[in-house]
Amino acid sequence: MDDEQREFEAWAVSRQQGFLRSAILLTGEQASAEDLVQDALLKVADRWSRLRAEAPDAYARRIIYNGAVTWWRRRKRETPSAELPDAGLAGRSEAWVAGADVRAALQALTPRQRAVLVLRYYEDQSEQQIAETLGVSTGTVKSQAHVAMRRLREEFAIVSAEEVR
Amino acid sequence: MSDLREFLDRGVAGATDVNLVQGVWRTSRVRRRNRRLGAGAAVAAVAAGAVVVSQWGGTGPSPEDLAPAVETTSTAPVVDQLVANERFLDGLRASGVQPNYRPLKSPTLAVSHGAGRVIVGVVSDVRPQGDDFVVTVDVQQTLPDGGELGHVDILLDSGPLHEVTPAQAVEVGGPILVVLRDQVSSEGRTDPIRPYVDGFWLEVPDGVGNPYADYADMRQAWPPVGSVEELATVLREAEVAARPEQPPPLPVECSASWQNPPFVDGAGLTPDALSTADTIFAEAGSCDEEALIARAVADGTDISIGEGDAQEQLVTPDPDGAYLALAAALTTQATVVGEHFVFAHDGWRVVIDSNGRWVEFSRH
Repeated sequence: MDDEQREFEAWAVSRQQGFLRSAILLTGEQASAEDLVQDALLKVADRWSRLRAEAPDAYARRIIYNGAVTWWRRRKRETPSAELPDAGLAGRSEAWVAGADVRAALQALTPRQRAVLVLRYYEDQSEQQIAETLGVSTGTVKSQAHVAMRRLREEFAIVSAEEVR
Repeated sequence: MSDLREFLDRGVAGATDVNLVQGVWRTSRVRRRNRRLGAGAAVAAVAAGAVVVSQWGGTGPSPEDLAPAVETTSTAPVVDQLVANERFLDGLRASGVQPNYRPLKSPTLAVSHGAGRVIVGVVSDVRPQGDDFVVTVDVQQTLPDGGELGHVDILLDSGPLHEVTPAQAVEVGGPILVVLRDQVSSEGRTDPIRPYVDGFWLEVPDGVGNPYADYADMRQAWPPVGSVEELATVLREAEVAARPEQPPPLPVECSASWQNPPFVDGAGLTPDALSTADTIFAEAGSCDEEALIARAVADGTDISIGEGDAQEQLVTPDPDGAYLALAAALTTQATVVGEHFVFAHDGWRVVIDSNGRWVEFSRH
């Protein structure tokens, strides 16, 4: 194993679970989330010699979040919305089953609203960082977050820490 | 009320921990090797950042261009090609030809106007011409962007003392990058073209090789490269960096941008319908996405201007100019259809009923 490989794998191992959890929130499913993350890791590996000195995290995040939007659009074309399942509860832990309503609630948002929400409140990204990841303006980030939060608040009684203060 | 962070944490609690890293590196390297075997051509990939010396490292095509992973059991073809190229270059160097020159100062100079034109492609033929050699390049790309493709013949001066055998000349191949003087055009030419002394690069086991110059001797402005592909990227980035700065385009979030807005045509509307029209007009004109969406949801408005539900269709940015169209429609005189007031403009349609309910916003 050469130094580059060792370095890449150390980085990837340290990030994979965090990326996976974000991807689960984006897709609502473990299997799809794993595909998204592994695809991102593969693309980072392809460019590792260049990315290692820059921002592999930001690059991987862009792949995952934009991949999630593509995944959702493709899925929406193939699956009637009334049938979108929260797959894979059988044989899973109680904690996973208990979180099914959360994943379903997030799927009620648009892909972009979901992405902004997860980046902002799960990954603690700034509005500028979110804008760069998604390729939108900070104004769009703000409005998407606002709409998403309103929906969660009205339908699921969820508030952010900022709203509580 | 539940806290959002706790809410999100609950959504991932119990997720199965899996090892997604195993095999990724190997798959990536197999894909890169197969791309070389399959394409045999250098592609200048646009990427930012430093370039690292590595036989296998550096940039490649954009993620969307990556080929699916293909298992291969042999690395021999790639290595043999590099060795064959090295033998050819060694044979040329044996002639003792040592041009008296200075290396091009920087990648920027290599691609600047009047200085050079870069062709990137694949070796398709190598043949002797007297005591010299002509290398035919199947051009895949030219830098700066543009320029004719096709085939270009490159003349390499070697003199009679070279040690290249006919068999070795035939074996030369793979990606190649050549820097030509900008005044040169291959269109209509029949005689081969001499490149810059340090402007002829083939792939060799240590990276890139030239019959007259060692890449390691290039000046500091030339970053280390491990392949023709990486060298092309260096030159492309230098060309892009040298372009005059363009101001970034202003972000467009909402199409409505009247500085002297017209007004709603309220002729014939009931007071409630006029109130709704004024409100929607103001919200569209001020890009109040939240208010418009809230109004559409509350009124159960039939929004048919794109894909998705009302929220998704009314969210900004609106590249199709929906907000502007909505406002513009309301400045036209409405047609009365039963209890409905229909505003139509340029294929867009807004309907408000006599009770002030926003019934429809559609596009035909």
